[in-house]
Amino acid sequence: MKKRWIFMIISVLILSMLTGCKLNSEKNAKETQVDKQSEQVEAKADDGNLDNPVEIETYKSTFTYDKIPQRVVSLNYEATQLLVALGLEDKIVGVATAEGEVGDCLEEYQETLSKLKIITEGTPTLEVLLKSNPDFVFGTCWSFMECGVAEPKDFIENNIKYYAMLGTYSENASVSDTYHDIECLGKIFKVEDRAEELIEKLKKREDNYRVDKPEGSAIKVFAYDSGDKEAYTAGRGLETDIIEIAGGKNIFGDIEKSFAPVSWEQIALRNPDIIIIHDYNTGDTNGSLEDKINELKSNPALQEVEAIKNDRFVVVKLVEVFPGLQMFDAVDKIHEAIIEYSKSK
Amino acid sequence: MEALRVEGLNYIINDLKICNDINIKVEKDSFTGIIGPNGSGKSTLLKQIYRVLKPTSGSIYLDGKDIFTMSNKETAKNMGVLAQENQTDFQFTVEEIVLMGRAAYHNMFQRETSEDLEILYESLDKVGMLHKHNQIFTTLSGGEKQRVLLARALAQKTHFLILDEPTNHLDIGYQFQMMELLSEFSMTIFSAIHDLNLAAKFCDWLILLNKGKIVSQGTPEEVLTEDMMRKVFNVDTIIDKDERTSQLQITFIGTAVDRY
Amino acid sequence: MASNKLSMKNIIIICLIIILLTIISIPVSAFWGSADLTFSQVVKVFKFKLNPVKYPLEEKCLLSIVWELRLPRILLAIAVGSGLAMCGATMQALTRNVMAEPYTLGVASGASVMAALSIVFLGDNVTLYFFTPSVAAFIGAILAMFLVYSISSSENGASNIKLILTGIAISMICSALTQLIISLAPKESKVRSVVFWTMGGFGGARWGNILFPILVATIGGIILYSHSETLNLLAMGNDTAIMLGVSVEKIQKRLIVIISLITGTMVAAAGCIGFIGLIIPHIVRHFVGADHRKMLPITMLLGGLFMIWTDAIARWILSPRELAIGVLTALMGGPFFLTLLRKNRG
Repeated sequence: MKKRWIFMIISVLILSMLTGCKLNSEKNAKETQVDKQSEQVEAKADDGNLDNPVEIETYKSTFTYDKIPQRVVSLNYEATQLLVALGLEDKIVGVATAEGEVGDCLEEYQETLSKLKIITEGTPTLEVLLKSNPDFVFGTCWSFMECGVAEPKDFIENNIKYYAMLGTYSENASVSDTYHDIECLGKIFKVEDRAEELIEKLKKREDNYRVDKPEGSAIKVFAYDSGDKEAYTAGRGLETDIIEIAGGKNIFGDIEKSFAPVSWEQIALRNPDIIIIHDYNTGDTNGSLEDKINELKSNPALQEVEAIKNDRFVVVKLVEVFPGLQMFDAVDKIHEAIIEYSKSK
Repeated sequence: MEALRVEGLNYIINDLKICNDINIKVEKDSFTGIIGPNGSGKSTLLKQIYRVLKPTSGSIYLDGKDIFTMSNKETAKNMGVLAQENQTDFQFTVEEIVLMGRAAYHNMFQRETSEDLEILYESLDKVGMLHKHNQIFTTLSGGEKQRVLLARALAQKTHFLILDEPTNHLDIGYQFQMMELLSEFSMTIFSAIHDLNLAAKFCDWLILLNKGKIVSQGTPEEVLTEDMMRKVFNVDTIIDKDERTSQLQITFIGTAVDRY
Repeated sequence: MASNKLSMKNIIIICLIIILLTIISIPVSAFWGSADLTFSQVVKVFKFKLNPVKYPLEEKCLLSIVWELRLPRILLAIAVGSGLAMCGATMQALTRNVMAEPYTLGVASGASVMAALSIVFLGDNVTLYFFTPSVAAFIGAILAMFLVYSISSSENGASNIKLILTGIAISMICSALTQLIISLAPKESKVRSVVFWTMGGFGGARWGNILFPILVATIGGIILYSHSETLNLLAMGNDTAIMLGVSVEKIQKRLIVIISLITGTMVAAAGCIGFIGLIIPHIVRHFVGADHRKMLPITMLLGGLFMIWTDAIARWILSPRELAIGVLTALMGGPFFLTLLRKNRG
């Protein structure tokens, strides 16, 4: 008899927790509904017909744009930031936060970004996305899989064009993937001038580093994302390219996956000179910055590692090692650390 | 035509001959008992006859027909079995259990016919369990359970009934009750019996098994001799006919002295 | 003493009631989902579908959400709930153990591993294109079922505890294998796909891909129902079944293949969803008795109805996100399972 009561109490507790979450999100949902009506009116105003249709290839699909998209949804802040940088914020009808926040983004855009309507925290279900009635969606390649929002065919069937950041699915991701993204967006939205401007700015920063490469660029760098039983790091991908531009070499650049676990022993063996730490600035699920540094310093396997003995840590925001406008901020920070290291030698 | 004929039956496992060259004839309408110490192979023999085990060699004929040419369904229409049943989690009612005896006559999707229901009630009545037809089987007493299982075997409407020591774990009263009930039916009964006095009272033919071989066959008087009791059961007895009942009576004296 | 008396007529009435409830539930449960739609919006879609001329629909996205997404998944839920429930009931009869069902006996896990294998290693392989997750799931289900069954059939059928432990062992092995497959995956996207897939859910249901599971559930249901009487006999024990006329070996093999096909299909369509096959048959037997001719049809129908509403809750409760349905069924089924385990210590 007692056991039955215990079961009931536990079930009631769990149910009320879940209902609590539900009530919270209901508030958001109500707002969503009211705005929807006004959006519909707006959409009809500007038709935006293009004279020459543009064909853009992306992840698993190629789309022909004969009209400028009018109702854009972007699925993370790196993507949203790009759109805002190109002056397209008026066309954005909704954003999803993925794992980021407005505070992670560049200061110059934060005000605009915070005014955009959030359709969901994290990643939206297909239903939620459809409710915003978009005609164009911009995200990482993982958004366009069944484990993300939905598979390409669902977008196509619902007449929604999409674009996936090249850097999330290209074979050897590099900073030029982001240039490509900006170029494509420029073509799609007929803002080629602004796109070129943006690319130039970024390229200039890149060239700076290529000139200023320190002697003997065999400075070993290890990117520590998270983990205690084993460390998660960046393999072949954008971060490796970022490190290279900054003048270093990712000790795990040979791993095929762009995000992979490695053993502490391997790290000790490869003995990095500098360690990059990913700061998820919300500091929740992946441990705060102090926790991560402590983890590294207290790990017995890493006692003899150069970077740890000499306290050579570089902190980069997670958003800075994803394709987007902030890549070179990461390069800056790493580059600085590398210069310092070379001096100390 | 015998109801059952077994020829040259052998059951060998791991080089051990559990049943060794068994030859049996069971006459129609007889009450034939099979007796022997534990481990003599009684149960193994019966299990081969009602097809739960496959013989290593030999043949079995039911009403003159080789059972290995028959499907299990056909055998079930000709041979009813009452054995000790495994525990079951499922809460079938008495009715549902007895109706299972009719399964052999059904094809897929077939419902119970009114004939089935008649047979159901008739069988339950014969074993005196009609009043409990709606009760959950697992809530019955041991003796009641055996009666229901007997009703199930009767519902199969066969002329041949095998009993594989179903009453071993029951009180003597139930054992007696079961035997009395069985002797009233006009069927061929072939039963493994543990209690020798019961065997003497109810059977008209006995088969004595020891270490997998048939040691003796015949009427109870012929089979149950003091000599046999000593040889097979290792016990000294006095066997005579009771004056009042004229039943064969076995009185146990003591353990036999080992003789080689 | 307790007694069960429900005539065949009563059973048919109950079945009809459940069917009616199910039919009503189809449009009603469409009101709930991760996108917050009002009742009137959903009703608009149904009106439009009934008479597009009289009730034109302006917001086309509503049609996409309600008709193209929610409705197929509701129908798939019926098929999967029904399929898993009927497999559970059948496995219980086959193994004579009321705690048996596709999940607890590791059959669903076996199907998952093979599907994971197919997703990760063979997804892009052109020559082995036929080794789709569905085919793989079916093979995995058969292998696991065979393994469990051969262990449980040795000596007079294994004890209840041995059977459950075998199932747990198989589930653990399959979990480990899935982890291994994940770590060997060449691309991250494959990792995410597998993880997502193992959590189970009806989100992938579209009008195009629900036909097969529905067909399998229907035909499977008819076939299993035709074996109702045989299942009664098997539930009493293999020996008893033989005595009463069942060709046990032949029937066992047949049933194993059928269960594997149904389970494999359902797991392929919706991932690993546990405990439905445990909860539903148990509840039905409590009210209707153990006779499979009566409890099996009700089990099949109730499984479908139950799944519709479980999915509705999963879609709605964390809106705008979705709760993985396996979590919900585990929360319900876990305690259920433990209670049964305590009762069944034999």
